Amino acid sequence: MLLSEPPVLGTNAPNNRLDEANLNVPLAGLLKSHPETAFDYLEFRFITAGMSAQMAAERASEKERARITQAYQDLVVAPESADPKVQHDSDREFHLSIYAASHNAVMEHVMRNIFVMLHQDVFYDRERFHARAGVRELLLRQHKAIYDAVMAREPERARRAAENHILYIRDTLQESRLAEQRAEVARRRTGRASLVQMTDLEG
Amino acid sequence: MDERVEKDRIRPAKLADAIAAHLESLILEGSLRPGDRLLAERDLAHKLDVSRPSLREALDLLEQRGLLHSGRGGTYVSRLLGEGFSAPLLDMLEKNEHSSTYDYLEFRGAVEGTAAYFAALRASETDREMVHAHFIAMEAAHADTATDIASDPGREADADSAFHLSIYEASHNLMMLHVMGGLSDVLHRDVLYNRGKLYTRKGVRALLLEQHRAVHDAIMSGDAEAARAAAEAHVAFTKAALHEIDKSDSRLEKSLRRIVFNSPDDGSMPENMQLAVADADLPRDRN
Repeated sequence: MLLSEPPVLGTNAPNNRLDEANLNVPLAGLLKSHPETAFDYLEFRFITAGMSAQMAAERASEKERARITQAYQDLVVAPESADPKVQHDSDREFHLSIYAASHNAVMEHVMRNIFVMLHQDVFYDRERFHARAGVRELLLRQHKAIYDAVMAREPERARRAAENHILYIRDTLQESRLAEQRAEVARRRTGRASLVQMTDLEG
Repeated sequence: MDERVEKDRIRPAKLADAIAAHLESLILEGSLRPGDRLLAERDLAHKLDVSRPSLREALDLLEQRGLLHSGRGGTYVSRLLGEGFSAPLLDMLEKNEHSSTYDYLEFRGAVEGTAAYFAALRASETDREMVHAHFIAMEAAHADTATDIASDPGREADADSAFHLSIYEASHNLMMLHVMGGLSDVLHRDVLYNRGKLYTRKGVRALLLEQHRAVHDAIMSGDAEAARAAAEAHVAFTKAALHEIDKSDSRLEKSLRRIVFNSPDDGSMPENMQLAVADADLPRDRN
């Protein structure tokens, strides 16, 4: 990242060291084996996303605004890449650039750690999530709303835009989990024949 | 067809896996906490009514997953966020004591307001009993410190941490519980006691207790908005108080009155105290 700020307050871990740094967080495994905790994560992120967008709108320096802009532009062109990793990385960099511009080193550190988990699909399978119809476009629109408000230095609007983004992810995740359960039930029904006497099925 | 038949097969769960899953759930929900030492293998096997070999296998499994570790005298529940989480935080605090402290409190203010909000909405009868018990313990520690019976402000600071943890538990958000609990493990005592010396100051302690009481009362009565406001005001006050301590030790008393009452001191506690504290505008100490 060419435009990245010098690390704020001694959080010296450059972006590319992020993944190795926390591979062994025991909490990650724990949360992953309990999928319902994804909603706890989203409830938590609702707070930090809103707060960081608001603070970034208030506090971002010129350099930080340039980093956010670069991240946003990368995010916009990311869907052209066939590689899902490019899309996921650009999403992370966009959000991290806002956390960095919020000038709260403790929150930034916490969220960096949580993003590592997000990118290990601890909370949900992001590829399947993004593959749902319409999701990509709506996410992009939400990212644009956050970006526009932060750049316009409108803290309240930025906070609401970030909160809406998380609410949308929550609702969509809820729906997609229900849809998967229904699909599972439907599949089992078609398998009915495998457990009953074929001859009884005739009638 | 074959695939579906495959799915119909039932296999009994291995006992060791079932034990591991059970202990794992207890760790996830916070019934077993980081640092807890488990019963000796024989006693634990007896308690869970399982064979020792199965238990040992389950413990090994959880150790491999980093949830347990063997230490002096037994098996302990591990810290869930690991070194990669806590080491940089301590490093930060070492290098930028003031700004890290304010960052911690600013962050906590937002999260804890929401935790108190959810606690007021979601707390079960048991949760309420726990929050209440921790408040009573804090009150007792406060009284003892005040009368010099057992003058250990550290005890009151620890009761403070325990009270806040019980609120995270009552919020029933496991992400908040583990992340903020992990953060508090690293920073709380350090910030409030060792560095800030907040709890060694008589006037401050009394004000903190009243703020805790406001949070407690709102959660007990199920008033979510009041709980949020009280928790936010409490953390904002802590931040403001630490700032005053940093600025000048000798002028503390006077300054605190100014922050809290925002008006000449007539000895009463005005209704709008929380708002006055929340509005206290602090210059950010950033290098």
